[in-house]
Amino acid sequence: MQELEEYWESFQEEIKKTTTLSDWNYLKGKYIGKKSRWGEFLNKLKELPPEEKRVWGKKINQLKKEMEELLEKKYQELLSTEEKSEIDITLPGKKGWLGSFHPVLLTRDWILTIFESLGFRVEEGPEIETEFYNFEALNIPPDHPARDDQDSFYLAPGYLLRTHTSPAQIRVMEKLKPPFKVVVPGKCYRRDAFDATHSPMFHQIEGLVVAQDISMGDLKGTLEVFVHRFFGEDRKTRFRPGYFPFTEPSAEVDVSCGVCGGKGCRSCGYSGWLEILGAGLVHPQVFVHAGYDPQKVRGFAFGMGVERVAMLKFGIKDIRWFMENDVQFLEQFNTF
Amino acid sequence: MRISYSILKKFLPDLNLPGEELITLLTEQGLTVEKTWKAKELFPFPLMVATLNNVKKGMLYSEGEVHFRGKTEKIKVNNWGIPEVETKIIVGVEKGILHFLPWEKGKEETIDFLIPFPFSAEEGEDVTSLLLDDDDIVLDIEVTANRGDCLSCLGLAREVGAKLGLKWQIPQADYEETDASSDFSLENQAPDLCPYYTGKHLRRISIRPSPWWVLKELSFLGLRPINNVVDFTNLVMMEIGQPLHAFDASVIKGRKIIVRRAREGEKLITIDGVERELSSGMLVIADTERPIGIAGVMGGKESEITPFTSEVFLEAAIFDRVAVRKTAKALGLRTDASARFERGVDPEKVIYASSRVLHLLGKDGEPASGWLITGNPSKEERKVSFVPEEVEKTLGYSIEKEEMIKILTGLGFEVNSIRGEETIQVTVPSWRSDIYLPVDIAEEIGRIYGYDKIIPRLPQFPFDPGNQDKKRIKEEKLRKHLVDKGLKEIVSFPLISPEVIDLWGEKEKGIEIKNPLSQEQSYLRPHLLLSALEVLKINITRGRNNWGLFEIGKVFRRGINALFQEEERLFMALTGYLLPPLWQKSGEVDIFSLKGLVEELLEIAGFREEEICFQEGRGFALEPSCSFLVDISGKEVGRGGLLSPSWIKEWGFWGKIYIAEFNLDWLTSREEKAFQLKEIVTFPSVIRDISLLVDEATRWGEIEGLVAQTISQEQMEVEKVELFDLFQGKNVPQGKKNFSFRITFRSPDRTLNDEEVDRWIQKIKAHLKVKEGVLLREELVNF
Repeated sequence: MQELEEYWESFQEEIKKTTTLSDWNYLKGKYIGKKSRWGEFLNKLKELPPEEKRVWGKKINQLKKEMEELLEKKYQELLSTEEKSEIDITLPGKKGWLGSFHPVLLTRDWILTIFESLGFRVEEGPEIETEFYNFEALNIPPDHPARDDQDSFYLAPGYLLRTHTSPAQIRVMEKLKPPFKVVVPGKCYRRDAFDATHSPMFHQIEGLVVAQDISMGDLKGTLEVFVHRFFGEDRKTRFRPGYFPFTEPSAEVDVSCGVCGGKGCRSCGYSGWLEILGAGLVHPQVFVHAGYDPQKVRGFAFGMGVERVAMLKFGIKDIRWFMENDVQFLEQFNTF
Repeated sequence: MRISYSILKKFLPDLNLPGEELITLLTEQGLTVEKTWKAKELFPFPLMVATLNNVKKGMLYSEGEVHFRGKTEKIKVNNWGIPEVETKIIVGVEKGILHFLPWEKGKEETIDFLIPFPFSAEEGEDVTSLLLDDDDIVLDIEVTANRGDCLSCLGLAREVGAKLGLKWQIPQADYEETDASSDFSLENQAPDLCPYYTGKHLRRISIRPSPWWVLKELSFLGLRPINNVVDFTNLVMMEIGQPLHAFDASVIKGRKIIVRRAREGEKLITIDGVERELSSGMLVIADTERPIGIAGVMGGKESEITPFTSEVFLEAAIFDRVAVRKTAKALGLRTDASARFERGVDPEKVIYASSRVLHLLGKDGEPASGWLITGNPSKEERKVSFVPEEVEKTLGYSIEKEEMIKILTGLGFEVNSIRGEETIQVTVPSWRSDIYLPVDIAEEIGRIYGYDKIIPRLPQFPFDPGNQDKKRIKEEKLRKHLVDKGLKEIVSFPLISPEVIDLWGEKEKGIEIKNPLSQEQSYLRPHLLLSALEVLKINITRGRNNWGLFEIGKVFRRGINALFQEEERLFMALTGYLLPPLWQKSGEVDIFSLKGLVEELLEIAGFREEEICFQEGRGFALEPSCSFLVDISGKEVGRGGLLSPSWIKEWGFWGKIYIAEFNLDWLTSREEKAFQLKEIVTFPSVIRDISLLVDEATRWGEIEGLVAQTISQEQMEVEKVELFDLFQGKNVPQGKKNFSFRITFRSPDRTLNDEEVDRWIQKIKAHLKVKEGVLLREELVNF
């Protein structure tokens, strides 16, 4: 019965190491459960002479009882470890890192979600564009004064970093068949030096709807839904005539100032309005460049600067903070 | 473009709209009012009356005495700018100190000119309110690139008039010319760039200060007064939108004006005193010897009007928009004139503008008879036809045909509407070079009728089946996971410096920006790390020590098939401790924190453990002894490791920062296999631990591989194999290390028995022992 001794020793060794309830459970199964060897030992007992049988039998029962007691004791011990020791609940918790989405991309996602809920597709376009897509196809011929507002970074003759997401209008029209409605988010680049409201790189979201009958009314209705959902039901929308070579009629769209409610304050330059995007009906020439017949389709398009909208939404004063990515800035957005 | 209410009223005598409403009207019509001033705010001092007397003429300068409220001040004035007799003059007064126009001039210098007070008044009287209307306001209006016509008072007046239904009028332009003809001649060698050129020769010019009203209006318009000739040309440009230029005719060689292309390298000192080198694409105004002005941009210094100018050649012309734009851009010289030519001037106001200057000059110059003219101002009349119903469809509301006609007529269109005919034909006014198509007409009608009248409609879009981009959904999942794991998303600046791209080692594949704003931003990033470097640095140097950051963005390099290649990447960086200081005994971020995160992402992306292979792999910027590459089915998808401390030291920061960068396009483009749910196994498991001693150099992966091999060969029912201990040193022989791992056996269809499991364990152990240097822990008695 040396094996019994070994069995007992290995039990003692293992119970010492046991620190979790799952280990305890395993131990219990191994030593007093179905997998235990007590049956095996009792069988062996039969082979022994009667006097030894009595001694060993007693021993077996004693050890088994002891094991059960030790296991029970261990169980109680494990169960109450935490309760027994005096804890100081004012000690800091084991709080881990909290992550956050970048405020500009968070804003982008919110905007996209609104338009997706209105049935818009999300498409993408390249950041390196050709002059054709970025300018010519959008009715901005070389030496057009509108190119001044969009001074661009050139990579090679005819190739540049896109100055707006509008080239995606052409790409989308080439790819899809009307009717469709899409939004295209992405990075854009302009040769503007960094200051509080300008950055050589920024994000835009382009919107494009092409169908048989589209009017300024549809554009206004759609953007009003957007403004209400994004800024709040109490905010008003104002359309002003504007100019973009690739839309006609064109409009600048303002939202009533959220700080003063439209009365005029410092945040809105005392006008009561904040400019948020440019929009209009797709210019017939743009349809021609995209291979569409302007007699047969109409469309509206809009483009908004995500940084600008994010700055309004979060009250951020300097666009450079977005690009600096100080974690002390970023962590403030961990509730979104 | 600046304008005052008072100037606007000159063009719209019936205007009677409160200033605030005018601002709203303009803004809502697409002429955004960016800034407003009260008229008085443009004059820094209260305006008062002083008396000038005791004028003593010198050769160039005159001396005189100014009396003001009992004090006398001696002043020195340019001869041309001083009245000869005792006069009341206007001065600006600040704390008893007298100022003379232009106000910014220092006190000691010679005064350019004095302004006689136009009414009768007592010396010392404050006449600010007499000279400037208390209610007058000045507006700064943003004019869009298509509306060159609105870069003039007349243009703005037409806009306001069209909205309010008021008639506009143009200022007087009658003048008297002498019988004497001009001895000047004119030659146009570049009619393609200058379709129309007019000149007027004036003799017996008297250069004087402009009268008060001109000075006042120029101040409102944001121009600096110079002298009568220059001021009148500037004022008329602002009034009408036609740039004009006055040359001192006496310096024009050969008594001839030649309009021609510049010769390559030809030089000209412009009025601003800068020597300009010209190129052959530029148009110049020249005499028989040299250029005397850059057409449509700026005149030459030598032919500038001075107090000694006695005869003038007055130019009014039309120059090609594109040519002027190119020239101005090439010279970096944007002027009020070039801005107007670029956007197009009204061909029908050229002679009128010149005449207006002659009118203003009156007796201060004697116009020679006739005009010097080449070319023709009149472009063909542009006619546009439109269908009113289409306009309504565009704008999305109904509007009476009569209303449309009224609006267009108000804007200066000639409307030809035939009763009973559907189509309306209009003739576009000469000043509207932006109108070509029926939609342009629709915009005009909408603009004046009011965008506020557009009825927002819940769009009745036709059904579009839409799309759901799988890649995007997966990308969102990965992003969200990283945020859930406590990482902060960043957006770094994609343009980097040559020094940073040099680090990459494959600069020749980098993409350089041909016209960067600065060297600092002259390359596109080929790796996210290279743009994120600045972000890591900022945070470390500001003492932010515990963080995880990630970015999703594009990297760029020269392509093989395409000229340029864009690739979407995922970048991560981890440093510091995951827990607060009290609990930091363990929990410092290390290479395995990073590896774990990568494993999570790969699993979420849908890769199976068997496909993924982590290998020691070097990457630039990574510490060679602590880096990896990830290989999936033979393709490298990313690298990671410890950012080399010596490498970042050169960039001025420090720290143990673990980074990884992955090809996101690849991670998110995994074909999705049909999902197959596995049965939930409820039969009990059997657990066995194995402890091994192996050579120090043996990697866990090898042992794990051997175990896996046996498991699959013998078709064992194994749920998982987990390494739970790894140690060396005490109780382990020199040159060896200990691996302890646990195997969980479980069968989906039965309860395993111990004998079976023991047999399997023996097989696994036996197979492990085949490997050289492997010792089973239980085989060792003493060590």
